[in-house]
Amino acid sequence: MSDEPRASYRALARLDAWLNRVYTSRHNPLYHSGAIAAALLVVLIATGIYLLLFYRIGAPHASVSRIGAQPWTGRWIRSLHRFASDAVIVATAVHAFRMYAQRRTWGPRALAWVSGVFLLGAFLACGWTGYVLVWDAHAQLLAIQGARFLDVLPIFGEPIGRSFVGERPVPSAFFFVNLFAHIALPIGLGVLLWVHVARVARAVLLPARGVLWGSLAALTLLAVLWPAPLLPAADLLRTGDRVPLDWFFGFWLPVAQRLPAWSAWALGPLVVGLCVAVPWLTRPKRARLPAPATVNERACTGCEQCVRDCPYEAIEMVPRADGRAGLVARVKIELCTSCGICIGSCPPMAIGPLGVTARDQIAEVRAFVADRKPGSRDVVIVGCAWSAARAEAERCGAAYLGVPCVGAMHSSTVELLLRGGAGGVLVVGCAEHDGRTREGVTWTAARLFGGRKAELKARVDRNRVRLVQASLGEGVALHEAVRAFADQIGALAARQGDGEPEVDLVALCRARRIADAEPTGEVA
Amino acid sequence: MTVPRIAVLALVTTLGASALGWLSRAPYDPPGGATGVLRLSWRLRGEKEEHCRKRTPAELEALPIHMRTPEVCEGRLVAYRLAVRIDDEPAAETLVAPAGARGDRPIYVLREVPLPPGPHRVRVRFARATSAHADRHTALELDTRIEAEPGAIELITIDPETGRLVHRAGAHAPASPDREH
Ligand code: HEM
Repeated sequence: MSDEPRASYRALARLDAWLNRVYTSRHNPLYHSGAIAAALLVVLIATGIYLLLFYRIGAPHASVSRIGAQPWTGRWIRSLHRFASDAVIVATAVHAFRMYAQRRTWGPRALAWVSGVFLLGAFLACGWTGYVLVWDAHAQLLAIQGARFLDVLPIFGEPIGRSFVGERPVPSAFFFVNLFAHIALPIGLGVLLWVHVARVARAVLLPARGVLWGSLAALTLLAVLWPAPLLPAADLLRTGDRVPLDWFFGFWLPVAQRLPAWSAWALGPLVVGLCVAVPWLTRPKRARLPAPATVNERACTGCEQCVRDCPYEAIEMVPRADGRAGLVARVKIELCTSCGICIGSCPPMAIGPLGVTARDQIAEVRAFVADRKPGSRDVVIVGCAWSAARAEAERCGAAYLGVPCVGAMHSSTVELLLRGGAGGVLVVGCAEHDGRTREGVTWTAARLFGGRKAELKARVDRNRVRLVQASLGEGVALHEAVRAFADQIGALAARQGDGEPEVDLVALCRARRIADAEPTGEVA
Repeated sequence: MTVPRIAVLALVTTLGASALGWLSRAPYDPPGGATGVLRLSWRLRGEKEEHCRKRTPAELEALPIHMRTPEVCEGRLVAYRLAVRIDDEPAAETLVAPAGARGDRPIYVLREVPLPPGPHRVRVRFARATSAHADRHTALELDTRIEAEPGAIELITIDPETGRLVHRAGAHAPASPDREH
């Protein structure tokens, strides 16, 4: 997990940071994109059931028009159904992009990725059938294109396109099949979503309350104030008129209408194949593959904390094989993402990916202390490459200790740094709802300040430890936090009557602030 | 939360929601909007073309008595050639084979040809393509004048009563399934 952030993540982190300032990190909708998509599926089912009560397959356009004419309910419920579908597409696209940008695509996550591709495909198909149900000019475009593609396949006795030539009315059976698909597909979506999060422990299917109600309120207001239009009924003997298109579902139409029908069967599988292949295309080379966690069975006490903390349910307890009573942890290698969260969960330091176990970490801290010799006014910044920690340490000249993820940091690391002379330890993690190890920051907070195993020992002065959430783009916020903490450590040192530090971070940061411009939040 | 922050939050949310609302209805001009279309669509039960030959005495001898028919015939549905001329210029010329993987299904014609706005002389001919005696079979033919409008589809189809090709202008065709308004 120590691999460097992609350029796409750096760009995303800047947008995140900007939205954090607007919404706060807890309520940043981009962090909650997967959960927003899942929650909106429920909104779609609720509004869809209402629409179903009034929809008539014998009079598709007229019945939708009647729904739109209901002044208190139908008008905005229909629009909410539509805008919620659009929002699912946006949320899913952001979610998938985030997963890619954070390198959360390969290994055990391949199941989530591939099922995600099919989730998106099934959702789009569900949307198309929904649009066709309205049987307006937009529906006509989709239906005719769909028929054009299907008619390339030599499997239909009569070309489907002949249903739309305008010779006779489109049969009700067509709308019945569409309605059936529109209702059946969400059941498939439910199953796919279940598969999608099968390997994720404690999957977050609902966003933070503020995000949930906020997005629902925004979509409802949009539906009330600017309802979705109902276009004139489909007229199969007219073509080419300008239509208001839903670009979230019809983005492919401008290309598809200009290409020969067979190209859909060449391009479609190519695009889907590429998307499905991402887990294998992005998998690191064998030599760079991170090692899965392993258990030192002699040291394992069987406390089960690692099982509780693992974000991917990749650890189980099995009877000991060494003759001792009780259970021992065992890693299900096929499920382990090498996130390292188990490192910080284990008081006796018995588990972790080879080469980055807690014992390796302690050895590294010892070497670090011996080399840097931090003083009582120094703040050591501990963080991962995906946070703003390293850039801030460089900016302020503070000592920096890199870890694969703060969730993979053993609490003894903090204690050892302080015992090694550092005035304070500032742990910098990503935003809680954005962690690429999912729960790294949450568990770290609980381990440092909430007594969760492997807890930071009570003897450690908590005034000298701080946990800050600052993703790559949040240099400015982190800078403020570092300054405040450095001030606090400076004051503590002064109270204890310590001499001048070797590196006076407080003075250093102040001097730079005056000499240079304020940091822009951009990270090298 | 300070008032300016609430204002920024409200502004960003409004912008985001408006962008979603707009992209949900942003105008799109499908290709060919400025021109009209000539749509040819009909279904024809295929005609069989049979090749028969006499069985040789040896062949007859080899067959069980009850199967000794003197002639053996192999038949298949014939393909048709569709030719469209607009203002005496060839606009389309294609071979239309019977549908189905084995070519044993009816013939379905579904073809669209651009038709610029204005008056046109349209001639359509649909005749057997593969028979050596194609001229003996009557072809389906239409020679008509059409006043094309931008965005309108002029339908050429077979009239089920007369069995002839006819031109149906947009206004006469029942395109919407809605039975109640
Ligand atoms: C309707 C569409 C989708 C919904 C509702 C959805 C929802 C979710 C949820 C709730 C999680 C668990 C997040 C957590 O608790 O940390 C998740 C994980 C994941 N999703 Fe999706 N998702 C959707 C589509 C997609 C798509 C299209 C992709 C990519 C092509 C994708 C890729 C992933 C991956 C890789 C994970 C696993 C993350 C990890 O294990 O660290 N998802 N999704």
